Amino acid sequence: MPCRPWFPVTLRSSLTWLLVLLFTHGLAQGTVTDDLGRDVTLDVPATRVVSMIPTHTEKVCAIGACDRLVGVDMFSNYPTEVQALPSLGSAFEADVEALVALDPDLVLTDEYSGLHDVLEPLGIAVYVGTPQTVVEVWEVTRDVATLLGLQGEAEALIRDAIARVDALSERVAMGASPSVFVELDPSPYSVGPQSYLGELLTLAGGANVVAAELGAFPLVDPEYIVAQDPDVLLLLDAPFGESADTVRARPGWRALSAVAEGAIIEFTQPQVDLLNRAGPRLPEALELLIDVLEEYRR
Amino acid sequence: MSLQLDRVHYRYEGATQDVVQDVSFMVEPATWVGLIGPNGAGKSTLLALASGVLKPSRGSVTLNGKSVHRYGRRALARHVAVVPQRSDLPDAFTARALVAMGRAPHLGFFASERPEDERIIEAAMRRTDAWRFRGETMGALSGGERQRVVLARALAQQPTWLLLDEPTAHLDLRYQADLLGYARRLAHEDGLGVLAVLHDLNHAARCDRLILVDEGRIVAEGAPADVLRAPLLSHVYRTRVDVQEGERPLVLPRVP
Amino acid sequence: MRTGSLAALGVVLLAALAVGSVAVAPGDVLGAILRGLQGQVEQASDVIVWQVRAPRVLLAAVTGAALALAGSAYQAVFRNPLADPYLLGAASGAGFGAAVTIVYGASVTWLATLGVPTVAFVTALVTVSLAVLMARVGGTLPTVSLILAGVVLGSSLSAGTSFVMLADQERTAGVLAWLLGSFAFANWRDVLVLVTILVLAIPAGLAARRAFDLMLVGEASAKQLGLPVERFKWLVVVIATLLTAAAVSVAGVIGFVGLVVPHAVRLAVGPEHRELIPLSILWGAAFLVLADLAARTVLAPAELPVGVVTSLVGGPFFLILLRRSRMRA
Repeated sequence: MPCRPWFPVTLRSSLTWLLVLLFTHGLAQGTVTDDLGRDVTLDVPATRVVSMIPTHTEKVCAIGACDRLVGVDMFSNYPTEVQALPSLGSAFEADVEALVALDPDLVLTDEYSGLHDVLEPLGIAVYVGTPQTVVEVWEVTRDVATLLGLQGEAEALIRDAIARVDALSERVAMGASPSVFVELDPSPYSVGPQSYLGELLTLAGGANVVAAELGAFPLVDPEYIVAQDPDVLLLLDAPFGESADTVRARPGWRALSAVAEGAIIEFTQPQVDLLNRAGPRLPEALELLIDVLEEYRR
Repeated sequence: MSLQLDRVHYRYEGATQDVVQDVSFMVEPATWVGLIGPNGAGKSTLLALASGVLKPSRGSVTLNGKSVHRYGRRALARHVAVVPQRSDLPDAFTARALVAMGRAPHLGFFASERPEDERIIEAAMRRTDAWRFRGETMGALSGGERQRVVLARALAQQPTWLLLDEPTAHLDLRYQADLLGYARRLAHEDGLGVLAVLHDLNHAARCDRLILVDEGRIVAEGAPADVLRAPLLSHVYRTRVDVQEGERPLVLPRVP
Repeated sequence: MRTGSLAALGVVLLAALAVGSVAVAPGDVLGAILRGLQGQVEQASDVIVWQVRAPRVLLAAVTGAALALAGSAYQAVFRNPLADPYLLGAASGAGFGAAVTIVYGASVTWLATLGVPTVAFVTALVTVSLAVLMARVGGTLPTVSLILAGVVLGSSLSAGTSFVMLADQERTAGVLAWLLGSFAFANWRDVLVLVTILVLAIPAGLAARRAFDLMLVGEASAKQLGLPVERFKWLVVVIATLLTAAAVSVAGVIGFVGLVVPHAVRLAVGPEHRELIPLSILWGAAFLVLADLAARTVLAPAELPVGVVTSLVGGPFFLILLRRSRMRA
């Protein structure tokens, strides 16, 4: 059955292309609508940018504007040069005084930080948005690029990324999909197919044992996982102490095929960052997933 | 056999003065002793010292020659029972269940009530006319009825000494009379040593012996006819008092 | 009443073993239990029922029993209707320890080696001990100071937990899930730990029924009725803290059970501890088993945190009970 994984992959990239075309011509110069439905307008491209979310930091740098960043949040660690920038705490607990003192003309954050309520009265433009799906990665990249006046760079980046995704898809076109359980933390929280990571997993040719109707980030009953008997376990909580050993010690999990076969992937912290951050390194994240699933694809 | 205070002093923590100074007295079985004096004289403190709840700063409280603090709580509770001035009575407990608490010092940690305990509980409740509302919950009883239940609980302890702290406070005339009657009969018929803090001097006049305290010291002790005298009471209570003398004197404060 | 409640608990346990997000035929459930008791695991459903579900159901039962016993003991000894097993800071202490382990376990290896349950157990014990030390005057434990010390320490540690959670937002969901309680990865070892403590605590609790009753008339009266009040308070605090720390360390902070089950039982059978203690233990166990059953079946195979179920379902149930008893009175 070589057709099964191949078909949806291509459909998805085609849809992506369609959206790419739609949005390229849809928006006025310098104005974007953010995730809270607010219009953010800049008369001139932003030159002093603060990013309070690691994915925004990565996007700004990916379109070649790393030098316009004047401050970042404490979790932004990629690319490495941003680690030299002033750290402004987290989006939830930002050091507002230090942030304002940097005199930024644009702050990129997420919809829950509430920073726009504080900063906009001070005349600082705030863009609020976090990509939750593959398509939204491109949308938000395009929004950020618009505010920086770098639409051309963004289009090149997106075109290149989609081409790489399509090329990678060729690798998974053959072979049966292994069933996979993605563990975000030992509660265990997992990801549904409609989440960003769930989409990547599907693109990488993995069959998620978590069904879509459970939601994007469900807390899953362990006995259900035992009954599903996934072929592979992806431990995104490995940096926090979970491992093949701790999984084997869980009641009833010794009987899982993945445990018997040693098909338990322990990701490192940089790998977890790569997988969790819906940003310009999407093709690398996909490649990582494809690589680790390679030997379980029959 | 006696409950005896010997040169007892007591000072509350952090206070600069003793609230009880050099007090000595004794309560024998089959006697009803009244403890009287103005507010703040130290009557309730003396009762707490006698029951072993407070420990004297100096001096000793002995029961049959042995310090009350050398007894364990359980052993002491088999000899001395207390009816406090105010007690918290869980509303949802039945009268009988509350009286049954009086058996606690006689029962082992794991033991259940024996038939003998049930007999004692019933006898105690009958003695205070509380048996007929044994099934009622405490919340449903009047103040006078509650006081009889608490007295029955004390009797269920089968004590030799019974300490009452203002047992007639907040009761109407009939319940006051009933309660004084119980106290007298428990002393004279059942042979208990009864020590009662009394506010009303005309109630105190019914006692066998009175101890008058003022500012933590005993100022007079003896038969009611000897203690309840107008000049002494006027001095101690700081108000003019008239007394109709006799074996049971009648005390009347003069209204200015 | 006690026999009936014991039977009801049995029925609840069997139902919880039979039902789950994975359907297992009743015959296979029975077979799995019989084979499991002999140490055999043969078919796939045996793994589900005996290795995954059974320890989970039993852990919920013993945790419920422990919390309800500790709660009813505290309510009597502190004569405070709001008293629950977490009154002296056990939950906040355990929560703080768990949060620190979850968040910093990656960089501090000895934390990860000890694991969340052990760290939570120790921090719960340390917190209550601190409260006791601060409140202690000579050999006595004044109730008001003790409760104040526990509540204040608890608030400080809760603030600490929030701070640790915010320090690493990727771990926030994990910490939150632990704080809301879960029996997801219950194992036989956890069950054994709690059973060991309960084997000591239940007979002590049943035996102390008269002492608990005496505490209800006030400390001075209880002394005069022969109860060594201070020694008894120490004993209760030590046993209840062990119970609570063990329960919290394996199941997280499950609210409500220790507070409301004793009250519900009191509404049903009155305040005498001869009935109140055994029935609180039985219904605490049954209630938490049912709550966990709901947590893992309502949205199956997704789960709800069991602490959410206890409060969401238990709250209204208790209010109805309270209302009905008031109308009868």
